[in-house]
Amino acid sequence: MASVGVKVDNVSKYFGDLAAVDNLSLEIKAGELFTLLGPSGCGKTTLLRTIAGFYYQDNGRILFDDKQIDLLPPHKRNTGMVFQSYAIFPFLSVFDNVAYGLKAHGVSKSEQKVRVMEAISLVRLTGLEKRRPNQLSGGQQQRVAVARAIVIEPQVLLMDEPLSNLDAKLRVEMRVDIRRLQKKLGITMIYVTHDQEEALAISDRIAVMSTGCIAQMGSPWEIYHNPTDPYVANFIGVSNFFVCSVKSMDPDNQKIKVDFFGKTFETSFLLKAETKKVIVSIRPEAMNIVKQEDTFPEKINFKAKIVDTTYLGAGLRITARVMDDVDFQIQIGHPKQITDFVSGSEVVVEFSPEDVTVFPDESVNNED
Amino acid sequence: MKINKLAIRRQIFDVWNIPVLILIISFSVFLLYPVFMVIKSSMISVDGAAISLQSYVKFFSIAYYYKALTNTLLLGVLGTAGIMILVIPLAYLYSRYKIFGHTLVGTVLWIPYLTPAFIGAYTWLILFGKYGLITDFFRNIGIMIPSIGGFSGILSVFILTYYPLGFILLIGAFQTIDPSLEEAAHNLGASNLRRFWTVTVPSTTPSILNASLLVFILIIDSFGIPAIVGVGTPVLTTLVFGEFTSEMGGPPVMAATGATILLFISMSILIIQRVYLQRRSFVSSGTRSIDMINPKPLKKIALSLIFVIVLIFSLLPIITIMISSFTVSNGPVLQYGNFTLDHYRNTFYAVVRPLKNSYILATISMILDLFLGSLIGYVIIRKGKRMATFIDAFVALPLGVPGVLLGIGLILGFSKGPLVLVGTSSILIVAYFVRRLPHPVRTVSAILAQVDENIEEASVNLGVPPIKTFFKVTTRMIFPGIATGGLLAWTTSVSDLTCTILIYPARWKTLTVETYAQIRSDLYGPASVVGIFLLLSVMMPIFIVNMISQRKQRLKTQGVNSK
Ligand SMILES: Nc1ncnc2c1ncn2[C@@H]1O[C@H](COP(=O)(O)OP(=O)(O)OP(=O)(O)O)[C@@H](O)[C@H]1O
Ligand SMILES: [Mg+2]
Repeated sequence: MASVGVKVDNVSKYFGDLAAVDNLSLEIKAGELFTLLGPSGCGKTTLLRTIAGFYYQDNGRILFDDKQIDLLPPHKRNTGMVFQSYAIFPFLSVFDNVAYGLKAHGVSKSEQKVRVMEAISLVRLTGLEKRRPNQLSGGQQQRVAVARAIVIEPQVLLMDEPLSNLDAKLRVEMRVDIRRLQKKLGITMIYVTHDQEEALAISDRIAVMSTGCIAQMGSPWEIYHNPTDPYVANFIGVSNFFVCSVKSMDPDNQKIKVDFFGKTFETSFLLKAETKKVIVSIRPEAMNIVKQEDTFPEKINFKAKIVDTTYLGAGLRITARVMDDVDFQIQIGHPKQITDFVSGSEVVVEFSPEDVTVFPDESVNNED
Repeated sequence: MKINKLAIRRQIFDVWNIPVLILIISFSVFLLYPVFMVIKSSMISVDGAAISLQSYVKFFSIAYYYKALTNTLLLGVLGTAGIMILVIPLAYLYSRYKIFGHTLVGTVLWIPYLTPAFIGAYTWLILFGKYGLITDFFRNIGIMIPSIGGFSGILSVFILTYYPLGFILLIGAFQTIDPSLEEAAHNLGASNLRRFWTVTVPSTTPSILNASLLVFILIIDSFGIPAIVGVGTPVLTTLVFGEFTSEMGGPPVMAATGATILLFISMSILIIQRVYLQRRSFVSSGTRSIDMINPKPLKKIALSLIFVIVLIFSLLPIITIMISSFTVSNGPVLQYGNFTLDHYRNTFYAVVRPLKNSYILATISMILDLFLGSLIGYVIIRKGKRMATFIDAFVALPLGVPGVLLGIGLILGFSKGPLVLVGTSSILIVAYFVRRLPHPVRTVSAILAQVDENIEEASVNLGVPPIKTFFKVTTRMIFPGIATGGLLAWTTSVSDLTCTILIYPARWKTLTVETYAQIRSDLYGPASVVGIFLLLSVMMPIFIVNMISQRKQRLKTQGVNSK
């Protein structure tokens, strides 16, 4: 399959005065599974539809490899789109649904048959070719939509929240299938979702979007562990944010010392000269509750008070409070005794400085 | 916001502009221009030179003319009121209670509406006319009942003919009212009757007004009923027809004046209906529909009986005309009990030609309507919001143009000059095409609005260009809409008398014209035979389409996707 790299170059798409996609650029390598992740209304679908040609961008260019394709009408772009609503043809059997695109491309009857059966077996629907769409489950319909899109050997596969209509268990199953299939075919794929867990699970790379722009782009690991701003940190998983003051900085080594509720830790961070306040972001699962203070010198710990606990089955989510008014979350796996964590009790909370991400605090003016 | 020249060029050269362009051109030529010609003719002064309003002064100062206007308005108001009074309780009961043969009742109630209005009028004349069956019956037992005719005659026939439309529109309204409203009233302890008047009726007021206006337009535009029942009671349509056919020499100033006044009334009503009511009357919470009550046996029987009476009135015209066609007749006097096949034998050859004409004309215009209508319906739903409102309103224009006016306008506009239609079959095709185009547009857009647009986009994405996708995918998704739209266009064209009678060329006499001629010649036996053929022609396709659409029902429910 001739998969291509996709380049989106300064593309904007307006609806009236609203910039649904705002001067957005990105580059996707051939054969990559690239995910657009972001909250509802951030422009994921708009971007995807612009790439497919259903919208025409107001400026910028879109290239497949080095070929500019944004002047082509949608039926000539050779993209394979999988819609959130599946959009399979209700009046055609599974076989005919999958064969539809091949017919349009003038593929011979005999070849059609071979390729359709192959695609149907790839999505594991063999035996259901003669069924009508209304005789299929949601998951099976979804597979038909995927088969129909891959059978034409598109240059890029575009998936718009393909799993959002399925139940939680099936979603997990299907996303494994989709990734397996994508790797097997080596096809370039742009995958849209607002489910961060799904994005982390299947992607080679993720672009986190916010109101028409890309907030951060990187591998799932980078996005999760090194979010570049609080928006991303908060959107990907849950994060605790603490506003702290900077004690001292060492511009040569790009390190700063942060005052964290009376304790001091050092972390690497590139800051403007006069930064006085920073946001310290710590994931709930990066914090732990320990028996005593200061057992490990490389870790930071502090006293807090338990406000509330939520049992999650696989773990325990604790809401704790420090300094009388700062609430934060701690997540611990496999607690032996839930009764150890009663509301109102004083505990010692511990974390390692390397699990911390520090952002400049944009809410205060650091320059004065 | 940046202006993108390429995007603008794409908008201008968008293929979907083609159907819109065809619509605008064809309506300008075949609707707006004829209307303009009529209005212009109404303003020709006596000396023929200047533009003047003399004809209007004349219209409003001579009783012969303004009587027709007052009759029309009075009939419109009283007829609409009568229908609503009859139909509000009926539709309410029907939408709330399960009665025996619920669906059958719903289907049969359509019959009087689909029956060509003047055929209905004619059968009521057979029954209650001067020599009518029932009039005679009572006369023989010594009771004189007033025979149908004049103002009250027209009024009753209007009500009997057009109540099904009101009924159908109101059932929709009562079924989609938010159930929680009524439940709330119920919880507060309101009695059934009280709830009906204080909650149900007020919350369906827009729908009731909407139905009223549509019925009102139907009544004031009707020609067949007053022409047959109301001899001696002029209304605008019959006045215009009479003036036009007798004025043939000079410019038909008074006919044009009457037609323009009628146009003014129906256009105003149409505008009010569209601007204020249409949208509001279709609001439905959608999520939940009313649960129908299965009443206790005694109540159920009583309710069913009410509808049996309604059914009898609905079916009476058909039964009457059927029997009459086999009954020995002597002019308008039918000798019931003496059966004969003579009428069929004698009339058969007279029927074949008009039957063929009607079918050819209605079919050609229907095909044109379906072709343009589905494309326009598509544009309205799928392409650009600003355009859609305009096109939607524009395509509805024929609904406000009375048939008599369009007929006169087509004659005035196309009897000479570059495009001569008068005397050819094209004039009828054009008239039917223009008048019926709103039907497929409406039925198609109603269904298309519920079809997941992604299905069409999927086809385009797979390599099938948009227009081809429309014919390969969209038409199949909207088939029920196309079928109903075509059905409505075809049957209403076949049963059209109002416009046809003004413009038909001698060799393109239609079934309606033939029937009307027989009735006017007081040949009730042969008239019934032609009438039967006319009735069968309108009923048959309905059954066929019903059968097809039941098979397609499955598809339709699938198409209405998870949107
Ligand atoms: N056809 C349209 N006309 C006008 N505005 C639109 C249109 N489509 C999308 N928008 C607006 O553009 C913005 C981006 O919409 P888009 O559908 O791309 O969001 P999304 O990221 O896909 O959201 P979701 O996760 O809910 O699908 C939204 O504010 C939306 O209201
Ligand atoms: Mg979306």
